[in-house]
Amino acid sequence: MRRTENAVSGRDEEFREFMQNRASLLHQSAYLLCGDWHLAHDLVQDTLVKAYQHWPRVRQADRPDAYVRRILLNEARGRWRRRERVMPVSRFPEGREPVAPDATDEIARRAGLLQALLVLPLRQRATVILRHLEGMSERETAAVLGCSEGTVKSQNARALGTLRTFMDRTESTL
Amino acid sequence: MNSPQETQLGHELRQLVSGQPFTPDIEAIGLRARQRHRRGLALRGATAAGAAVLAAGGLLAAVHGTGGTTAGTTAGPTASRAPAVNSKLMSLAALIKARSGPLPGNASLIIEKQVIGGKPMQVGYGLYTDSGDMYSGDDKQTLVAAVAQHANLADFTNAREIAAARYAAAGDLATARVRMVNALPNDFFLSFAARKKIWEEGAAARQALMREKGIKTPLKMPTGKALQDDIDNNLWTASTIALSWGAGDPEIREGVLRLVSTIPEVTVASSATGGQPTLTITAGPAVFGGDGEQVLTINARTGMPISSVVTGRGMPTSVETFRVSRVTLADIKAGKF
Repeated sequence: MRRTENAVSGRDEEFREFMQNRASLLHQSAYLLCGDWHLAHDLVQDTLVKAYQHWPRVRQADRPDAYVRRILLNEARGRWRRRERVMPVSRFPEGREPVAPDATDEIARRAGLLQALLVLPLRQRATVILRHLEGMSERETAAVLGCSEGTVKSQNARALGTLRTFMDRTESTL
Repeated sequence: MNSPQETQLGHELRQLVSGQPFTPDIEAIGLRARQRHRRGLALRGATAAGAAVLAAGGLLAAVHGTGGTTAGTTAGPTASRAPAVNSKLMSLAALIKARSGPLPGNASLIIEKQVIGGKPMQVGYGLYTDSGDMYSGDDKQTLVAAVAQHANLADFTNAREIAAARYAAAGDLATARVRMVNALPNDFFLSFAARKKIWEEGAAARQALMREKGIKTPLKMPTGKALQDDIDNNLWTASTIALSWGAGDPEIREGVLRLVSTIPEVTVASSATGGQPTLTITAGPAVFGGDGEQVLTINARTGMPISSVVTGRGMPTSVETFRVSRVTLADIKAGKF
């Protein structure tokens, strides 16, 4: 019993150390994936529970950060499959309809960006988040998404093409 | 080297997510992980003893709640009484049973394409293996990668949903309803006093959420018809989730149809889709809190899902179409699908 307790305590300490500087960014990424802070909280909690469960495997992985982000993306995909049936477009923020980007209204402008991001297919959205929020390289992003660097490039380009309408619109009104 | 547009996007994204501190509760995470591990063992043990189905309404319901909102071990009268059923769905369920035989392959693959507001949005690949693993991807490549990495999505909730659907195929329908309802966290079957206590404990968090979402009318604890509608929402949601993974398995289709046939706010009409006879199953607004509707179209001979259309909530219409097949895990691993 004592040995088990010590092992658990050691795992807690390692896990805490690993997550200390990462959890906040993970939370932010989750928000951009789902568009709702409460869902993001749930998503990260579930991700961390899975990461904790598989901690020996996570810590020994070549890229532990990539491993945890893969779990997050899998959770997000799972949520999409689950939630669509009740809340078909739950990834849109509340009050989506009346929101129009307005340079004089920072909140509406941010909502506009979020709205633009959330209409991207999940993989493109994930690419944008990993590349431009988390600052991952194309190689690191490819490792998380389980695809080639070329695919990351093309997903990124497509996403930027879609987001360009929003970016151009906000630039022109600034 | 990022382009100016990419640099600007990064800046905008960081602004968008600023000011939301998050500190994970490591102790709680560790506790949940250990509980999940123990529950998994309990389920496997119960299954080995042939008792998992019996446990679904009691033991499982008692352990899966979140934030203290656990289901009780006894079912309330709204879910456990002998339910009225829709004869079309029951007839189809019987037909599926009569036609069922050995299944090819060892997994069900479902490919979902989603269009929202007329725009193609997502493609989802979902794989449910006969051993209970669940993998998903948004194209062939990511599904293959998910399988190769053993990124199994199945959790205790999925196990309950699938078990309840299978039980419903041959078991007592009232019991099956309770088990499927209890697949998702709820407090439906606790006493009024216990539910009220949980409701009051959650008041602060609920008010904060309402403020954020701009809801001004205070929410009331659901009772009577509103409670029944909530129960039916759980039943519909958990049943359709089971179908969304296991549609390739006739036992799961049969069980889901029997369960859905008991929801009073669900109507069924004969229809035709692409030249094939279909059934149009409509879950009305009451199932979705008074706003929204889901129309599930299935093949009238096999029960295979064909499409799902969700409307309401002031949102653009969401249309999903499904392609279901039986596959082997080896073929999926090799990308042959």
